[in-house]
Amino acid sequence: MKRLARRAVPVYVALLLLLSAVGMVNQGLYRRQVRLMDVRSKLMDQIAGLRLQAATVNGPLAVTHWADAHGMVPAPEASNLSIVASGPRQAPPPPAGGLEIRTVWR
Amino acid sequence: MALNRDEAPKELRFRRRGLMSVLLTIPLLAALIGFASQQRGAPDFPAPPADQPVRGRIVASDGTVLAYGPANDRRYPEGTLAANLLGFTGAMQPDGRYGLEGLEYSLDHELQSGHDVRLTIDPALQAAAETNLKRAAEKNQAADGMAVILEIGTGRILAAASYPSFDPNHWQQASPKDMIDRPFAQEYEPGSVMKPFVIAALIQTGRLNPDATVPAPMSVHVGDKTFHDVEWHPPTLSIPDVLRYSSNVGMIHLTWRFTPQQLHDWLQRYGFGQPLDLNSIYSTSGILNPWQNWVPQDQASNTIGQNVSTTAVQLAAAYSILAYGGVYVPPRLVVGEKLPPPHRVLSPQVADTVFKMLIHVVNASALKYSKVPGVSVAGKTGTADIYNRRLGTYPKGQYSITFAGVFPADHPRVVTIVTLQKPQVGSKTSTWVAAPLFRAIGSEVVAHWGLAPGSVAMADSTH
Repeated sequence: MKRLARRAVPVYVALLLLLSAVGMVNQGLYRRQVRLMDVRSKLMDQIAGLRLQAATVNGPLAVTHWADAHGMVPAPEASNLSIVASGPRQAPPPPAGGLEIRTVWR
Repeated sequence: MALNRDEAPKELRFRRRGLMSVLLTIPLLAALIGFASQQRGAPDFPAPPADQPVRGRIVASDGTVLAYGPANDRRYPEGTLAANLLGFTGAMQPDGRYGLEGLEYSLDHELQSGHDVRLTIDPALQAAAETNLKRAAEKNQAADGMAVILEIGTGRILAAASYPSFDPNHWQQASPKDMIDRPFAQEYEPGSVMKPFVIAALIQTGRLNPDATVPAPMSVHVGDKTFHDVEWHPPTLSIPDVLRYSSNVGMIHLTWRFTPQQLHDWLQRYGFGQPLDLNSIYSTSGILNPWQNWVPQDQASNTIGQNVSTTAVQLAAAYSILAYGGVYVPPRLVVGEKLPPPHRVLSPQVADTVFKMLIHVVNASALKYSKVPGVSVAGKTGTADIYNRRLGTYPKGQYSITFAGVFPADHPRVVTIVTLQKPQVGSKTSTWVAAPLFRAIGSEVVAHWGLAPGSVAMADSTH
Protein backbone atom coordinates (compact mmCIF):
# COMPACT_ATOMS: atom_id res chain seq x y z
CA MET A 1 0.00 0.00 0.00
CA LYS A 2 2.83 2.32 0.93
CA ARG A 3 4.61 1.63 -2.35
CA LEU A 4 1.41 2.17 -4.24
CA ALA A 5 0.87 5.47 -2.46
CA ARG A 6 4.41 6.55 -3.25
CA ARG A 7 3.78 5.93 -6.95
CA ALA A 8 0.26 7.32 -6.99
CA VAL A 9 1.04 10.65 -5.35
CA PRO A 10 3.44 11.93 -8.06
CA VAL A 11 1.05 10.75 -10.76
CA TYR A 12 -1.73 12.52 -8.95
CA VAL A 13 0.27 15.71 -8.60
CA ALA A 14 1.37 15.52 -12.25
CA LEU A 15 -2.21 15.08 -13.40
CA LEU A 16 -3.23 17.94 -11.15
CA LEU A 17 -0.60 20.19 -12.70
CA LEU A 18 -1.69 19.10 -16.16
CA LEU A 19 -5.28 19.87 -15.26
CA SER A 20 -4.22 23.29 -14.02
CA ALA A 21 -2.32 23.98 -17.21
CA VAL A 22 -5.19 22.86 -19.43
CA GLY A 23 -7.57 24.94 -17.35
CA MET A 24 -5.42 28.03 -17.69
CA VAL A 25 -5.06 27.61 -21.45
CA ASN A 26 -8.78 27.07 -21.66
CA GLN A 27 -9.44 30.24 -19.71
CA GLY A 28 -7.09 32.14 -21.99
CA LEU A 29 -8.90 30.88 -25.07
CA TYR A 30 -12.23 31.75 -23.54
CA ARG A 31 -11.14 35.31 -22.85
CA ARG A 32 -9.70 35.57 -26.33
CA GLN A 33 -12.92 34.33 -27.87
CA VAL A 34 -14.95 36.82 -25.88
CA ARG A 35 -12.60 39.58 -26.93
CA LEU A 36 -12.82 38.57 -30.59
CA MET A 37 -16.60 38.37 -30.48
CA ASP A 38 -16.65 41.81 -28.99
CA VAL A 39 -14.39 43.07 -31.76
CA ARG A 40 -16.59 41.33 -34.34
CA SER A 41 -19.68 42.96 -32.91
CA LYS A 42 -17.99 46.37 -33.01
CA LEU A 43 -16.86 45.78 -36.60
CA MET A 44 -20.39 44.76 -37.59
CA ASP A 45 -21.67 47.98 -36.05
CA GLN A 46 -19.00 49.88 -37.91
CA ILE A 47 -19.91 48.18 -41.20
CA ALA A 48 -23.59 48.97 -40.64
CA GLY A 49 -22.74 52.61 -39.96
CA LEU A 50 -20.43 52.80 -42.96
CA ARG A 51 -23.06 51.20 -45.21
CA LEU A 52 -25.54 53.83 -44.11
CA GLN A 53 -22.89 56.48 -44.67
CA ALA A 54 -22.13 55.05 -48.12
CA ALA A 55 -25.84 55.09 -48.95
CA THR A 56 -25.91 58.80 -48.23
CA VAL A 57 -23.31 59.21 -50.99
CA ASN A 58 -24.05 56.56 -53.61
CA GLY A 59 -27.44 55.16 -52.64
CA PRO A 60 -30.25 55.55 -55.21
CA LEU A 61 -31.99 58.18 -53.09
CA ALA A 62 -28.78 60.13 -52.51
CA VAL A 63 -27.92 60.11 -56.20
CA THR A 64 -31.42 61.34 -57.08
CA HIS A 65 -31.19 64.15 -54.52
CA TRP A 66 -27.69 65.10 -55.61
CA ALA A 67 -28.68 65.25 -59.27
CA ASP A 68 -31.71 67.32 -58.38
CA ALA A 69 -29.70 69.70 -56.23
CA HIS A 70 -27.22 70.21 -59.07
CA GLY A 71 -29.88 71.16 -61.55
CA MET A 72 -29.82 67.91 -63.46
CA VAL A 73 -32.94 66.70 -65.20
CA PRO A 74 -33.84 63.29 -66.60
CA ALA A 75 -32.68 62.96 -70.21
CA PRO A 76 -36.18 63.24 -71.76
CA GLU A 77 -36.69 66.60 -70.05
CA ALA A 78 -33.60 68.11 -71.64
CA SER A 79 -34.94 70.84 -73.93
CA ASN A 80 -31.78 72.68 -74.94
CA LEU A 81 -28.85 70.52 -75.82
CA SER A 82 -25.33 71.84 -76.09
CA ILE A 83 -22.15 69.90 -76.43
CA VAL A 84 -20.00 70.74 -73.46
CA ALA A 85 -16.97 68.67 -74.46
CA SER A 86 -13.99 70.72 -75.64
CA GLY A 87 -12.93 70.73 -79.30
CA PRO A 88 -10.41 68.36 -80.84
CA ARG A 89 -7.14 68.18 -78.99
CA GLN A 90 -4.40 70.38 -80.42
CA ALA A 91 -1.34 68.64 -81.76
CA PRO A 92 1.63 69.09 -79.42
CA PRO A 93 4.40 71.41 -80.68
CA PRO A 94 7.36 69.65 -82.28
CA PRO A 95 10.01 68.81 -79.72
CA ALA A 96 13.09 71.03 -79.50
CA GLY A 97 16.07 69.81 -81.47
CA GLY A 98 18.75 67.65 -80.01
CA LEU A 99 18.29 64.16 -81.27
CA GLU A 100 17.80 64.78 -85.00
CA ILE A 101 20.16 63.21 -87.47
CA ARG A 102 21.17 65.45 -90.33
CA THR A 103 22.35 63.85 -93.53
CA VAL A 104 24.48 65.90 -95.89
CA TRP A 105 24.93 64.56 -99.42
CA ARG A 106 28.12 65.26 -101.17
CA MET B 1 12.13 3.02 15.78
CA ALA B 2 9.79 3.08 12.99
CA LEU B 3 6.53 1.45 13.43
CA ASN B 4 5.22 -0.93 10.89
CA ARG B 5 1.87 0.22 9.49
CA ASP B 6 0.24 -2.87 10.79
CA GLU B 7 1.91 -2.39 14.11
CA ALA B 8 0.73 1.25 14.58
CA PRO B 9 -2.23 1.81 16.84
CA LYS B 10 -5.52 1.79 15.06
CA GLU B 11 -6.24 5.41 15.99
CA LEU B 12 -2.93 6.63 14.53
CA ARG B 13 -3.53 4.74 11.30
CA PHE B 14 -6.85 6.42 10.94
CA ARG B 15 -5.36 9.88 11.49
CA ARG B 16 -2.63 9.27 8.96
CA ARG B 17 -5.18 8.33 6.29
CA GLY B 18 -7.18 11.44 7.11
CA LEU B 19 -4.10 13.62 6.85
CA MET B 20 -3.23 12.04 3.52
CA SER B 21 -6.71 12.66 2.20
CA VAL B 22 -6.59 16.31 3.25
CA LEU B 23 -3.16 16.78 1.70
CA LEU B 24 -4.36 15.33 -1.60
CA THR B 25 -7.62 17.29 -1.61
CA ILE B 26 -6.09 20.71 -0.92
CA PRO B 27 -4.36 21.13 -4.31
CA LEU B 28 -7.47 19.87 -6.10
CA LEU B 29 -9.63 22.41 -4.28
CA ALA B 30 -7.03 25.12 -4.92
CA ALA B 31 -7.12 24.35 -8.64
CA LEU B 32 -10.91 24.38 -8.75
CA ILE B 33 -11.13 27.62 -6.74
CA GLY B 34 -8.51 29.15 -9.03
CA PHE B 35 -10.47 28.27 -12.14
CA ALA B 36 -13.68 29.45 -10.60
CA SER B 37 -12.15 32.80 -9.66
CA GLN B 38 -10.78 33.16 -13.19
CA GLN B 39 -14.20 32.36 -14.60
CA ARG B 40 -15.79 34.95 -12.33
CA GLY B 41 -13.42 37.64 -13.47
CA ALA B 42 -13.90 36.86 -17.16
CA PRO B 43 -15.97 39.24 -19.30
CA ASP B 44 -19.55 38.33 -20.09
CA PHE B 45 -19.87 35.95 -22.94
CA PRO B 46 -21.92 37.46 -25.78
CA ALA B 47 -25.40 36.08 -26.27
CA PRO B 48 -25.26 32.62 -27.81
CA PRO B 49 -26.27 32.30 -31.45
CA ALA B 50 -29.56 30.66 -30.47
CA ASP B 51 -30.78 34.08 -29.26
CA GLN B 52 -29.81 35.72 -32.56
CA PRO B 53 -31.18 33.43 -35.24
CA VAL B 54 -29.83 34.11 -38.70
CA ARG B 55 -32.47 36.14 -40.53
CA GLY B 56 -32.48 36.28 -44.29
CA ARG B 57 -31.74 39.47 -46.17
CA ILE B 58 -34.19 41.43 -48.30
CA VAL B 59 -32.57 42.47 -51.57
CA ALA B 60 -33.78 44.48 -54.54
CA SER B 61 -33.92 43.10 -58.08
CA ASP B 62 -30.35 44.25 -58.79
CA GLY B 63 -28.98 42.76 -55.57
CA THR B 64 -28.94 45.99 -53.57
CA VAL B 65 -29.27 44.94 -49.93
CA LEU B 66 -32.31 46.59 -48.37
CA ALA B 67 -32.37 44.75 -45.02
CA TYR B 68 -29.93 42.44 -43.25
CA GLY B 69 -28.85 41.26 -39.83
CA PRO B 70 -30.53 39.37 -37.01
CA ALA B 71 -34.07 40.25 -36.01
CA ASN B 72 -33.04 42.05 -32.84
CA ASP B 73 -30.38 44.08 -34.64
CA ARG B 74 -31.88 44.53 -38.10
CA ARG B 75 -30.24 47.08 -40.41
CA TYR B 76 -31.63 48.93 -43.40
CA PRO B 77 -28.57 50.28 -45.24
CA GLU B 78 -30.54 52.32 -47.78
CA GLY B 79 -32.34 54.27 -45.05
CA THR B 80 -35.80 55.39 -46.09
CA LEU B 81 -35.71 53.66 -49.50
CA ALA B 82 -38.75 51.36 -49.79
CA ALA B 83 -39.21 51.65 -46.04
CA ASN B 84 -42.98 51.30 -46.14
CA LEU B 85 -42.64 48.12 -48.17
CA LEU B 86 -39.91 46.63 -46.00
CA GLY B 87 -41.39 47.39 -42.59
CA PHE B 88 -39.17 46.54 -39.63
CA THR B 89 -38.50 44.01 -36.87
CA GLY B 90 -38.66 44.14 -33.09
CA ALA B 91 -38.93 41.85 -30.10
CA MET B 92 -40.48 38.44 -30.61
CA GLN B 93 -44.27 38.61 -30.65
CA PRO B 94 -46.66 36.11 -29.02
CA ASP B 95 -47.15 34.46 -32.42
CA GLY B 96 -43.40 33.90 -32.72
CA ARG B 97 -42.78 36.61 -35.32
CA TYR B 98 -40.06 39.21 -35.13
CA GLY B 99 -41.34 41.25 -38.08
CA LEU B 100 -43.71 43.98 -37.01
CA GLU B 101 -44.60 45.66 -40.31
CA GLY B 102 -44.36 45.27 -44.08
CA LEU B 103 -42.42 42.44 -45.68
CA GLU B 104 -40.58 41.86 -42.41
CA TYR B 105 -43.97 40.86 -40.98
CA SER B 106 -45.50 39.00 -43.91
CA LEU B 107 -42.33 37.08 -44.83
CA ASP B 108 -41.19 36.57 -41.25
CA HIS B 109 -41.22 32.77 -41.44
CA GLU B 110 -39.14 32.64 -44.60
CA LEU B 111 -36.69 35.27 -43.34
CA GLN B 112 -36.33 33.55 -39.96
CA SER B 113 -35.49 30.35 -41.82
CA GLY B 114 -32.42 32.19 -43.06
CA HIS B 115 -33.62 32.54 -46.67
CA ASP B 116 -32.92 35.73 -48.59
CA VAL B 117 -35.88 37.37 -50.31
CA ARG B 118 -35.37 39.07 -53.66
CA LEU B 119 -37.89 41.73 -54.62
CA THR B 120 -38.89 42.88 -58.10
CA ILE B 121 -38.23 46.46 -56.98
CA ASP B 122 -35.73 48.45 -59.02
CA PRO B 123 -33.91 50.71 -56.52
CA ALA B 124 -33.33 53.53 -59.02
CA LEU B 125 -37.00 53.65 -60.03
CA GLN B 126 -38.09 53.31 -56.42
CA ALA B 127 -35.89 56.29 -55.51
CA ALA B 128 -37.24 58.29 -58.45
CA ALA B 129 -40.84 57.50 -57.48
CA GLU B 130 -40.27 58.34 -53.81
CA THR B 131 -38.42 61.57 -54.50
CA ASN B 132 -40.94 62.92 -56.99
CA LEU B 133 -43.92 61.78 -54.92
CA LYS B 134 -42.55 63.56 -51.86
CA ARG B 135 -41.83 66.70 -53.82
CA ALA B 136 -45.32 66.79 -55.36
CA ALA B 137 -47.01 66.02 -52.04
CA GLU B 138 -45.12 68.81 -50.28
CA LYS B 139 -45.73 71.27 -53.12
CA ASN B 140 -49.48 70.59 -53.08
CA GLN B 141 -49.59 70.10 -49.31
CA ALA B 142 -51.19 66.70 -49.74
CA ALA B 143 -52.00 64.56 -46.72
CA ASP B 144 -50.60 61.42 -48.29
CA GLY B 145 -49.88 59.79 -51.60
CA MET B 146 -48.62 56.76 -53.45
CA ALA B 147 -46.95 55.82 -56.73
CA VAL B 148 -46.65 52.45 -58.43
CA ILE B 149 -44.66 51.40 -61.48
CA LEU B 150 -45.69 48.01 -62.83
CA GLU B 151 -44.05 46.18 -65.71
CA ILE B 152 -46.53 45.14 -68.37
CA GLY B 153 -46.51 41.48 -69.34
CA THR B 154 -44.65 40.24 -66.28
CA GLY B 155 -46.62 41.97 -63.52
CA ARG B 156 -43.34 42.85 -61.79
CA ILE B 157 -43.75 45.80 -59.44
CA LEU B 158 -40.72 47.98 -60.16
CA ALA B 159 -41.57 50.68 -57.62
CA ALA B 160 -44.16 51.12 -54.90
CA ALA B 161 -43.71 54.43 -53.10
CA SER B 162 -45.61 55.86 -50.14
CA TYR B 163 -45.82 59.34 -48.73
CA PRO B 164 -45.24 60.05 -45.88
CA SER B 165 -42.43 57.66 -45.13
CA PHE B 166 -39.98 56.87 -42.33
CA ASP B 167 -36.52 55.48 -41.58
CA PRO B 168 -36.84 51.84 -40.48
CA ASN B 169 -33.49 52.15 -38.67
CA HIS B 170 -35.28 54.50 -36.27
CA TRP B 171 -38.84 53.27 -36.55
CA GLN B 172 -39.54 54.07 -32.91
CA GLN B 173 -39.46 57.77 -33.81
CA ALA B 174 -42.03 57.45 -36.62
CA SER B 175 -45.77 57.78 -36.32
CA PRO B 176 -48.00 54.86 -37.40
CA LYS B 177 -49.33 57.05 -40.23
CA ASP B 178 -45.83 57.21 -41.73
CA MET B 179 -45.52 53.43 -41.80
CA ILE B 180 -48.51 52.58 -43.99
CA ASP B 181 -47.59 50.71 -47.14
CA ARG B 182 -50.06 52.75 -49.16
CA PRO B 183 -49.85 51.20 -52.65
CA PHE B 184 -51.00 47.88 -51.18
CA ALA B 185 -52.85 48.81 -48.03
CA GLN B 186 -54.64 52.07 -48.71
CA GLU B 187 -57.95 51.76 -50.49
CA TYR B 188 -59.43 54.85 -52.05
CA GLU B 189 -62.12 55.82 -54.53
CA PRO B 190 -60.27 56.16 -57.83
CA GLY B 191 -62.65 58.46 -59.70
CA SER B 192 -62.62 58.75 -63.47
CA VAL B 193 -59.68 56.39 -64.02
CA MET B 194 -62.41 53.74 -63.72
CA LYS B 195 -64.26 54.88 -66.84
CA PRO B 196 -62.19 53.04 -69.50
CA PHE B 197 -63.01 49.71 -67.84
CA VAL B 198 -66.75 50.27 -68.13
CA ILE B 199 -66.40 51.28 -71.77
CA ALA B 200 -64.24 48.21 -72.49
CA ALA B 201 -66.81 45.95 -70.82
CA LEU B 202 -69.65 47.51 -72.85
CA ILE B 203 -67.75 47.02 -76.10
CA GLN B 204 -66.74 43.48 -75.16
CA THR B 205 -70.34 42.47 -74.51
CA GLY B 206 -71.58 44.08 -77.71
CA ARG B 207 -73.54 46.74 -75.87
CA LEU B 208 -71.55 49.61 -77.33
CA ASN B 209 -70.20 50.44 -80.74
CA PRO B 210 -66.91 52.31 -80.28
CA ASP B 211 -67.86 54.57 -83.18
CA ALA B 212 -71.18 55.58 -81.60
CA THR B 213 -71.98 59.00 -80.16
CA VAL B 214 -73.55 59.71 -76.80
CA PRO B 215 -75.81 62.55 -75.69
CA ALA B 216 -73.96 64.30 -72.92
CA PRO B 217 -75.59 67.33 -71.29
CA MET B 218 -73.60 68.96 -68.52
CA SER B 219 -75.58 67.33 -65.72
CA VAL B 220 -77.92 64.43 -65.05
CA HIS B 221 -80.18 63.55 -62.15
CA VAL B 222 -80.09 59.97 -60.85
CA GLY B 223 -82.07 58.92 -57.80
CA ASP B 224 -81.58 61.68 -55.26
CA LYS B 225 -78.27 62.83 -56.71
CA THR B 226 -77.22 65.16 -59.50
CA PHE B 227 -74.05 64.36 -61.39
CA HIS B 228 -72.19 67.16 -63.19
CA ASP B 229 -69.47 67.31 -65.77
CA VAL B 230 -66.51 69.48 -64.85
CA GLU B 231 -65.09 70.45 -68.24
CA TRP B 232 -67.29 72.13 -70.83
CA HIS B 233 -67.88 69.98 -73.91
CA PRO B 234 -70.26 69.65 -76.90
CA PRO B 235 -73.70 68.19 -76.08
CA THR B 236 -72.97 65.04 -78.07
CA LEU B 237 -69.73 63.15 -77.65
CA SER B 238 -67.94 60.31 -79.39
CA ILE B 239 -66.81 57.49 -77.10
CA PRO B 240 -63.14 58.56 -77.15
CA ASP B 241 -64.30 62.09 -76.30
CA VAL B 242 -66.39 60.82 -73.38
CA LEU B 243 -63.02 59.78 -71.94
CA ARG B 244 -61.22 62.86 -73.20
CA TYR B 245 -63.66 65.22 -71.42
CA SER B 246 -64.09 62.67 -68.65
CA SER B 247 -67.83 63.13 -69.00
CA ASN B 248 -69.67 61.74 -66.00
CA VAL B 249 -72.99 62.32 -67.74
CA GLY B 250 -71.90 60.48 -70.89
CA MET B 251 -70.71 57.52 -68.81
CA ILE B 252 -73.91 57.41 -66.77
CA HIS B 253 -75.88 57.46 -69.99
CA LEU B 254 -73.96 54.35 -71.09
CA THR B 255 -73.99 52.44 -67.81
CA TRP B 256 -77.71 51.66 -67.99
CA ARG B 257 -76.91 49.22 -70.77
CA PHE B 258 -75.69 46.97 -67.95
CA THR B 259 -77.78 45.58 -65.13
CA PRO B 260 -76.23 46.25 -61.71
CA GLN B 261 -75.11 42.63 -61.52
CA GLN B 262 -73.43 42.75 -64.92
CA LEU B 263 -71.51 45.91 -64.08
CA HIS B 264 -70.54 44.48 -60.70
CA ASP B 265 -69.29 41.26 -62.27
CA TRP B 266 -67.27 43.13 -64.87
CA LEU B 267 -65.58 45.29 -62.25
CA GLN B 268 -64.72 42.12 -60.37
CA ARG B 269 -63.16 40.62 -63.49
CA TYR B 270 -60.74 43.54 -63.63
CA GLY B 271 -59.78 42.70 -60.06
CA PHE B 272 -61.68 45.42 -58.19
CA GLY B 273 -63.01 44.31 -54.83
CA GLN B 274 -60.92 41.14 -55.14
CA PRO B 275 -57.84 40.25 -53.08
CA LEU B 276 -54.53 40.32 -54.93
CA ASP B 277 -53.07 36.91 -55.66
CA LEU B 278 -49.75 37.65 -54.01
CA ASN B 279 -49.29 36.51 -50.42
CA SER B 280 -45.89 38.06 -49.88
CA ILE B 281 -47.29 41.28 -48.44
CA TYR B 282 -50.43 42.42 -46.70
CA SER B 283 -52.85 44.07 -49.09
CA THR B 284 -56.46 45.13 -48.99
CA SER B 285 -58.95 44.12 -51.63
CA GLY B 286 -60.80 47.41 -51.87
CA ILE B 287 -64.56 47.67 -51.59
CA LEU B 288 -67.04 46.77 -54.27
CA ASN B 289 -70.41 46.69 -52.59
CA PRO B 290 -72.75 43.78 -53.41
CA TRP B 291 -74.91 44.74 -56.38
CA GLN B 292 -78.03 43.64 -54.50
CA ASN B 293 -77.54 46.66 -52.20
CA TRP B 294 -77.14 49.16 -54.99
CA VAL B 295 -79.61 51.97 -55.52
CA PRO B 296 -79.63 53.64 -58.99
CA GLN B 297 -77.16 56.35 -57.99
CA ASP B 298 -74.78 53.61 -56.80
CA GLN B 299 -74.51 52.16 -60.29
CA ALA B 300 -73.94 55.68 -61.65
CA SER B 301 -71.31 56.32 -58.96
CA ASN B 302 -69.51 53.02 -59.56
CA THR B 303 -69.30 53.84 -63.26
CA ILE B 304 -67.37 57.02 -62.56
CA GLY B 305 -65.17 55.49 -59.86
CA GLN B 306 -67.02 56.65 -56.76
CA ASN B 307 -68.66 54.40 -54.17
CA VAL B 308 -66.06 51.78 -55.12
CA SER B 309 -62.56 51.67 -53.71
CA THR B 310 -59.31 50.18 -54.93
CA THR B 311 -55.61 50.15 -54.19
CA ALA B 312 -52.97 51.64 -56.46
CA VAL B 313 -51.56 48.19 -57.21
CA GLN B 314 -55.01 46.84 -58.17
CA LEU B 315 -55.48 49.83 -60.45
CA ALA B 316 -52.07 49.30 -62.07
CA ALA B 317 -52.87 45.62 -62.69
CA ALA B 318 -56.23 46.57 -64.22
CA TYR B 319 -54.62 49.11 -66.57
CA SER B 320 -52.10 46.50 -67.65
CA ILE B 321 -55.08 44.50 -69.01
CA LEU B 322 -55.79 47.31 -71.48
CA ALA B 323 -52.10 47.63 -72.38
CA TYR B 324 -51.41 43.89 -72.66
CA GLY B 325 -54.01 42.81 -75.17
CA GLY B 326 -56.76 42.11 -72.63
CA VAL B 327 -54.78 39.71 -70.42
CA TYR B 328 -54.64 40.10 -66.64
CA VAL B 329 -51.18 39.34 -65.22
CA PRO B 330 -51.11 39.04 -61.42
CA PRO B 331 -48.81 41.66 -59.86
CA ARG B 332 -45.62 40.25 -58.43
CA LEU B 333 -43.41 41.72 -55.69
CA VAL B 334 -41.17 38.80 -54.70
CA VAL B 335 -39.08 36.91 -57.25
CA GLY B 336 -40.09 33.26 -57.36
CA GLU B 337 -43.43 33.65 -55.64
CA LYS B 338 -45.97 31.23 -57.05
CA LEU B 339 -48.88 33.09 -58.57
CA PRO B 340 -51.81 31.98 -60.70
CA PRO B 341 -51.20 32.10 -64.45
CA PRO B 342 -52.33 35.16 -66.43
CA HIS B 343 -55.90 35.00 -67.72
CA ARG B 344 -57.80 36.78 -70.46
CA VAL B 345 -60.37 39.40 -69.52
CA LEU B 346 -60.91 41.23 -72.81
CA SER B 347 -60.36 40.28 -76.42
CA PRO B 348 -57.19 41.78 -77.94
CA GLN B 349 -59.32 43.91 -80.29
CA VAL B 350 -61.35 45.45 -77.48
CA ALA B 351 -58.29 46.09 -75.34
CA ASP B 352 -56.57 47.72 -78.32
CA THR B 353 -59.61 49.87 -79.11
CA VAL B 354 -59.85 51.23 -75.57
CA PHE B 355 -56.10 51.64 -75.31
CA LYS B 356 -56.15 53.84 -78.41
CA MET B 357 -58.85 55.93 -76.72
CA LEU B 358 -56.44 56.43 -73.81
CA ILE B 359 -53.79 57.67 -76.23
CA HIS B 360 -56.41 60.05 -77.61
CA VAL B 361 -57.15 61.28 -74.06
CA VAL B 362 -53.54 62.36 -73.59
CA ASN B 363 -52.99 63.75 -77.08
CA ALA B 364 -56.27 65.59 -77.55
CA SER B 365 -56.90 67.05 -74.13
CA ALA B 366 -55.04 69.59 -72.09
CA LEU B 367 -52.95 66.84 -70.58
CA LYS B 368 -49.66 68.16 -71.86
CA TYR B 369 -48.31 67.91 -68.35
CA SER B 370 -48.66 64.15 -68.50
CA LYS B 371 -46.68 63.75 -71.71
CA VAL B 372 -43.34 62.16 -71.10
CA PRO B 373 -41.00 63.70 -73.68
CA GLY B 374 -39.79 61.26 -76.25
CA VAL B 375 -42.37 58.57 -75.68
CA SER B 376 -46.08 58.31 -76.46
CA VAL B 377 -48.37 58.05 -73.47
CA ALA B 378 -51.82 56.56 -72.92
CA GLY B 379 -53.55 57.63 -69.76
CA LYS B 380 -56.52 58.87 -67.81
CA THR B 381 -57.07 61.34 -65.04
CA GLY B 382 -59.19 60.74 -61.96
CA THR B 383 -60.42 63.18 -59.35
CA ALA B 384 -62.64 61.67 -56.66
CA ASP B 385 -64.35 62.95 -53.54
CA ILE B 386 -63.00 61.37 -50.37
CA TYR B 387 -65.49 59.69 -48.07
CA ASN B 388 -65.16 60.59 -44.41
CA ARG B 389 -66.20 57.56 -42.33
CA ARG B 390 -66.50 59.62 -39.17
CA LEU B 391 -68.79 62.19 -40.73
CA GLY B 392 -70.57 59.63 -42.93
CA THR B 393 -70.35 61.95 -45.94
CA TYR B 394 -68.08 63.40 -48.62
CA PRO B 395 -66.71 66.70 -47.23
CA LYS B 396 -66.34 69.42 -49.81
CA GLY B 397 -62.87 70.20 -51.12
CA GLN B 398 -61.23 66.92 -50.16
CA TYR B 399 -60.15 65.01 -53.23
CA SER B 400 -58.22 61.94 -54.17
CA ILE B 401 -56.28 62.81 -57.31
CA THR B 402 -54.98 60.08 -59.58
CA PHE B 403 -53.30 59.70 -62.93
CA ALA B 404 -53.04 56.27 -64.55
CA GLY B 405 -50.67 56.14 -67.49
CA VAL B 406 -48.95 53.67 -69.79
CA PHE B 407 -45.84 54.25 -71.87
CA PRO B 408 -44.45 53.95 -74.44
CA ALA B 409 -47.94 53.64 -75.91
CA ASP B 410 -46.65 52.05 -79.14
CA HIS B 411 -44.83 49.29 -77.21
CA PRO B 412 -46.26 49.39 -73.67
CA ARG B 413 -43.64 48.60 -71.07
CA VAL B 414 -44.91 50.06 -67.80
CA VAL B 415 -48.09 51.22 -66.11
CA THR B 416 -47.60 54.06 -63.68
CA ILE B 417 -50.21 55.05 -61.12
CA VAL B 418 -49.78 58.20 -59.05
CA THR B 419 -52.22 59.38 -56.40
CA LEU B 420 -52.21 62.34 -54.04
CA GLN B 421 -54.86 62.70 -51.36
CA LYS B 422 -56.30 65.90 -49.99
CA PRO B 423 -54.04 68.49 -51.66
CA GLN B 424 -54.56 71.81 -49.92
CA VAL B 425 -53.17 74.21 -52.51
CA GLY B 426 -53.37 74.59 -56.27
CA SER B 427 -56.16 73.56 -58.58
CA LYS B 428 -56.82 70.20 -56.86
CA THR B 429 -57.44 68.47 -60.18
CA SER B 430 -55.60 65.54 -61.66
CA THR B 431 -54.55 67.54 -64.71
CA TRP B 432 -52.59 69.99 -62.61
CA VAL B 433 -51.53 67.85 -59.68
CA ALA B 434 -51.18 64.18 -60.68
CA ALA B 435 -50.31 64.56 -64.37
CA PRO B 436 -47.09 66.54 -63.70
CA LEU B 437 -46.09 63.97 -61.09
CA PHE B 438 -46.72 61.20 -63.60
CA ARG B 439 -44.56 63.01 -66.14
CA ALA B 440 -41.74 63.55 -63.64
CA ILE B 441 -41.64 59.88 -62.73
CA GLY B 442 -42.11 58.83 -66.35
CA SER B 443 -39.14 60.93 -67.45
CA GLU B 444 -36.99 59.26 -64.81
CA VAL B 445 -38.10 55.85 -66.04
CA VAL B 446 -37.26 56.71 -69.65
CA ALA B 447 -33.89 58.10 -68.57
CA HIS B 448 -33.30 54.90 -66.59
CA TRP B 449 -33.94 52.87 -69.74
CA GLY B 450 -30.96 54.69 -71.19
CA LEU B 451 -32.58 56.59 -74.02
CA ALA B 452 -30.22 59.46 -74.79
CA PRO B 453 -31.74 62.89 -75.52
CA GLY B 454 -31.06 62.45 -79.22
CA SER B 455 -32.89 59.16 -79.45
CA VAL B 456 -35.72 60.59 -77.37
CA ALA B 457 -36.08 63.48 -79.77
CA MET B 458 -36.13 61.04 -82.68
CA ALA B 459 -38.73 58.92 -80.93
CA ASP B 460 -40.80 62.02 -80.30
CA SER B 461 -40.77 63.01 -83.94
CA THR B 462 -42.22 59.65 -84.96
CA HIS B 463 -45.45 60.13 -83.01
